[in-house]
Amino acid sequence: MTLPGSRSVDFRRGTAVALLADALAAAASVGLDLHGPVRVVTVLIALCLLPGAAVLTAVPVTDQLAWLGLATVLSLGIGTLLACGMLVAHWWHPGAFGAVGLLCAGVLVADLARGRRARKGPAAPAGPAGTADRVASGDAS
Amino acid sequence: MTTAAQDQTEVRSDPADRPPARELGPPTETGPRPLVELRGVVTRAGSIVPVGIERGRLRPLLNQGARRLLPWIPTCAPLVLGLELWALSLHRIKVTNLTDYGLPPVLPIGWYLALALLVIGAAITLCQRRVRPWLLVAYVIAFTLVLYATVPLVSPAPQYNWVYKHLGVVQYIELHGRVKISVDIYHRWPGFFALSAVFSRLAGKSDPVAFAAWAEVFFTLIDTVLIAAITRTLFKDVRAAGAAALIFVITNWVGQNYFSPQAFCFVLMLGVYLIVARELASAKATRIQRILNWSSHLVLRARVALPDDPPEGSWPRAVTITLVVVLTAAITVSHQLTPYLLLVGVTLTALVGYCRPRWLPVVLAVVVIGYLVPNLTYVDQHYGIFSSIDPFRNVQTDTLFGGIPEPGKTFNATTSRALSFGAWGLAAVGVFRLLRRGDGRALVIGPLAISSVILVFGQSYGGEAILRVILFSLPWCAMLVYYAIAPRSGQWRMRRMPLVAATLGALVALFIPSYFGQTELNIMPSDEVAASQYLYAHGQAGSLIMGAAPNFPTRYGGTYDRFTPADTDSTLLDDNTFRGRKLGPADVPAVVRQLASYHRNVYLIFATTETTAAEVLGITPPGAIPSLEKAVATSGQFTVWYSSPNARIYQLTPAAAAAADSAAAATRAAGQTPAGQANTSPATDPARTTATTITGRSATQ
Repeated sequence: MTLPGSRSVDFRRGTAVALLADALAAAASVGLDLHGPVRVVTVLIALCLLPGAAVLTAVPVTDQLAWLGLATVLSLGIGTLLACGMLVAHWWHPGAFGAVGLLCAGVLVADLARGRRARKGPAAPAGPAGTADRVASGDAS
Repeated sequence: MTTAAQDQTEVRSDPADRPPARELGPPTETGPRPLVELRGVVTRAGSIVPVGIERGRLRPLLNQGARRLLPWIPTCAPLVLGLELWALSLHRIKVTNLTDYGLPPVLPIGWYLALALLVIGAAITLCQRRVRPWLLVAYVIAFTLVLYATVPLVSPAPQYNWVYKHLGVVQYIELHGRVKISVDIYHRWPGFFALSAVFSRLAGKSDPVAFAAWAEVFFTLIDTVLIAAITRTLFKDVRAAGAAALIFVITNWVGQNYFSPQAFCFVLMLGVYLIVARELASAKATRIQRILNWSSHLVLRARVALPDDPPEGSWPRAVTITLVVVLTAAITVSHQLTPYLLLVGVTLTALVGYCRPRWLPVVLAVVVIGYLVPNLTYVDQHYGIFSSIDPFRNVQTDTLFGGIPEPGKTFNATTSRALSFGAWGLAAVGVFRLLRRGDGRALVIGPLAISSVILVFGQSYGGEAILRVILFSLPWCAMLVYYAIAPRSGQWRMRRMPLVAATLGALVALFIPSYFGQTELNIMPSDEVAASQYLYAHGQAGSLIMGAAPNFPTRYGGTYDRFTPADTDSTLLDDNTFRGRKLGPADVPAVVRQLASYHRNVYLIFATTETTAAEVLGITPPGAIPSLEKAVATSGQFTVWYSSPNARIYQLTPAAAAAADSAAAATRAAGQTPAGQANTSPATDPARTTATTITGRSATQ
């Protein structure tokens, strides 16, 4: 299930956009205190994928299954440490995860923007940003 | 006469070039018309296309679009039909009055047919020359739904009584915003509970029971993704990846994927292995690997080596190590056992030379042991670091309170043993076949599959060591089982389908009684859950909560720490004078004495789940617990504090408590030990405490 370069870029771009939409929906349902399955599902997806997806923008992963698995475990791992940190610090504010979500969404947006610039411009930017496009150009495995 | 070759040519050729029908002979020569219409021809793709005769011409009955769908029918039809049959069968499943054989006897024939269809469809999908990954994914999801979503869909509340203890910790964190390490062991390893509390709050669910029922499906699905990804990374084979995930689903009978730190950390552990397999793999042989290779060569006459092209490994080393450490830290703060088994596994991969850098296990050990040190005294005092160094003793799963279980339980235990040994046996065949073809990856996966055995050399883990050994070996066994049934050439053909279907079918057949065989004990009636919730919300703080028998969903509430005992369960049957005999009015004074010896304010619970557990596990004869309840209710020494169809909570009257106290004092003054106190507190019984608290599971499960 490893995708060729261009399709890998499409997959990552697609998942990034979908995750941003999910994060927006989750933030709206939490902010407006809406109750129902939509809130549960959007929050679950955001909690299980958003931080991991943000981390994975820094490294190339072309295998969809691996991406999904890694994004999930990294999200759960980071979430666990943050939640434990709040317990240890005697500062229990689950709403603070909203800030984490915002940060992760920012990383995804920046990655998307850099990828877009890289496609338009003659040279891809150096560094971790625009990983999806570096994958497409064959720089990464 | 028409030959098959002619027919084939006929269909493949352009319609304009088709010979007239008379060249094929009149329809009467080839039999009656319906038979002609049912005749099929084989196309180049290997699929059968039906043809018919109309106005004397042979032409395909279906248009091209429909013909393109035909090859999908053998693989997709069982999937769609199976899922539909399963969905239709659900409303016929009644989970009340289950026998000691659990759920299987009440599952409708449609449910079994659905599973049979899925087995056949999965076998066909696996054996196709060209594998279709998304179809494999669909089958993995379908098996997960049928096997793990059936109970949540037909039962009113999350199954397993110990789930409610975990929910109690989540609610405690939600209520207090902190943990108190003096309460119980969960508060010392709070990672999973803290994240669950965050999710519960953000999802707007004040009661986590709303989502806990689906944990088993959720964790199993993530497990399959990770196992498939690891297999895909190791073997670069999509078919092996899908098959390994599928085999894991149908062999994971141990029921550890419920709402628990174990299920959560198992997922994270697989994530660590995925990173190690992808980013830290090395083809350089170490001395140990060279010895293993040499031994394999000596025995099997095959040169064994790791592939020259190790998996990707494109991440910066520092990033990779950081992520591994982050995940290990998350596991370490969430579970007592998983980090050590992970450490053993990573160390093994480093020793055989697959994982580099070789110092990675040292870094992980610092994290893991660093967290244990401040908790060492607590663990040692309450459970012991090493329960026994005798592996044969540690693998025994003693029956609860030494009861003689009913035949259904013995049968389920036999099938589960057969399933585990079957999976291990097939895995051994897989190792052998990989080594025979010189594939050194067997020397990485094989040791990982048996690495969890190390547990039984130091811990019985509350009688659950063997369950954890099985759980931690299954992902690797699943990969190896695939190579046990895969063709040696790697070229899959449909003639292998019967073997694959038989193997999958046998594993599924053993899985059903192994996994569903405890359902009569595991299903929690919703009114019992409500009773527990009410008790912890409205009971008098500081009171003793005691069940008549094990299996009531205790500690379900954010205030569970205000009751006694907070770190374990107490039942009347902890006292062996109440076990193995009929109970009745003559036992009430002993019950009162026992309760009063613990506390002046006591809640005594009688519930359907308790009666079921006591009778099915052979702790009391049938009818003993209901008889005792009747005696308690009519004794005048208890008042009914809460009542529902499946649960009654009685409160010891102050007068009865005072009278029992006086009687006990008088007996003590006379130098005797009162009956009902001789075999006292379950809270101080280390074996009992270990069995119910550290593992959250009773010793028989």
